[in-house]
Amino acid sequence: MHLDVVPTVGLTTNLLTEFTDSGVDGATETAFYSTRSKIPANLDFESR
Amino acid sequence: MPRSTRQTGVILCLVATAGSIACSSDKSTSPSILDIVPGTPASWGLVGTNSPTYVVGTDRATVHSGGTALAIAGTDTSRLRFSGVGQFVKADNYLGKRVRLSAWVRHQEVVGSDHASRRGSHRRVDHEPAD
Repeated sequence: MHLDVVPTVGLTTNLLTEFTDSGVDGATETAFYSTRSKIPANLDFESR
Repeated sequence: MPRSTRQTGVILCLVATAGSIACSSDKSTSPSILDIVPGTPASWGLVGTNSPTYVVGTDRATVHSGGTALAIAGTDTSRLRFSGVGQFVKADNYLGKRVRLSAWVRHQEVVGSDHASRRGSHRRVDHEPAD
């Protein structure tokens, strides 16, 4: 599995035409992500 | 979409719904629920429904090119439940950029053909709304 930055040209696979409310307030969401890593980890799925 | 929102996080997921086996593999042999070791790999967590009708784990028998595949098996036919593995990543490195999530996904015995019977990978971007 890969997560890559790609050029902003061409079609996207985004299926959403507008934002969808997750029901979670912004402060809670920001606090949740503040403790998360900035890069994906273990994309080759090694077990614990 | 309004540009006044701020991306806060990205979720990477492998998910399945409605009676299927899905794993990140293209091997010619068929995946089997018997090969799934329940539990999420390091840095990954369970997403969706924590239901006994799904098994989420890893598979070392049916893999693509590495040693391990994520794997999901289930017999649940409810449209209201899904299960999978995912991880939450802070969006700082991706602000204003286009990103692509790519993965090998193999599925077997998926029941149904509508939107309630899906398996695959997806990425979701969470935003902090502008007040």
